[in-house]
Amino acid sequence: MTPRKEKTVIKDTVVQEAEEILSLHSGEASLLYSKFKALLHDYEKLLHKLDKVITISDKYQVQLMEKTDQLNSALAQLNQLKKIILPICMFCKKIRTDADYWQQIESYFAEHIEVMFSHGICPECMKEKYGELLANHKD
Amino acid sequence: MAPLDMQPTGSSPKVCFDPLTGILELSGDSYPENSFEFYSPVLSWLKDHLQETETLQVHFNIAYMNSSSIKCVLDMLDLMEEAEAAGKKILINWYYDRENPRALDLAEEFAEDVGVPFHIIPVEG
Repeated sequence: MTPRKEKTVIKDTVVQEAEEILSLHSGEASLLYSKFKALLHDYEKLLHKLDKVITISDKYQVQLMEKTDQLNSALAQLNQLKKIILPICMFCKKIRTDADYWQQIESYFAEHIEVMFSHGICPECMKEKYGELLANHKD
Repeated sequence: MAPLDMQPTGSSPKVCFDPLTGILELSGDSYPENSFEFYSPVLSWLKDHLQETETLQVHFNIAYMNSSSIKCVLDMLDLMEEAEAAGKKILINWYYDRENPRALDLAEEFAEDVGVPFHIIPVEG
């Protein structure tokens, strides 16, 4: 978790002036004084809420921008793959990345689109490679 | 108790109250064209409901909010805080996507000034 930063609280001149007026009349029991004090309290609460909305909204904007960057980068990779015709060896399935270099298909995809391969054996290859062994085992 | 059942759209969240469980749920994204209009019935319902009930659980599961939705949700939290101060039992569960690195920070931002039990719960995205 990232450490929380010190916050800058909006303290505007209206609050400062109002506090000065209140301090001049402190202790007064007039209706005007108490109404003024209540209004100032509400105003400060509203300012705090505004500050909160801006802070949270900014964080959502950062989150959105980060997601947009991730999407753009994924889209760029996808477009790059869509535009190319991959030269592939018709026997071993290696991919030619330049004139003299042939790369294993697994490492090519891992490098370019972060696709990882998990190896298994399909039924046809199982028969071709181990058919005799399996037949002997059955007997 | 008055029912509350607002179905989600592409830009507004699902808002519904289940009278059997006593849970008010808000889930989905929240960026309606006019958030104040959207949340006005929710705030009215909440105000009335908090007068009638002694306990309320609220589950938030909102991935994104625009500025005016944030203001409305903060207004909802204020109402819950007032009810808690008046002796009602309020509980907030705030669900966030554990794979989103910003989501916990956002949840803590909402929880910061709220004087109501506020649980921040990670869920799989």
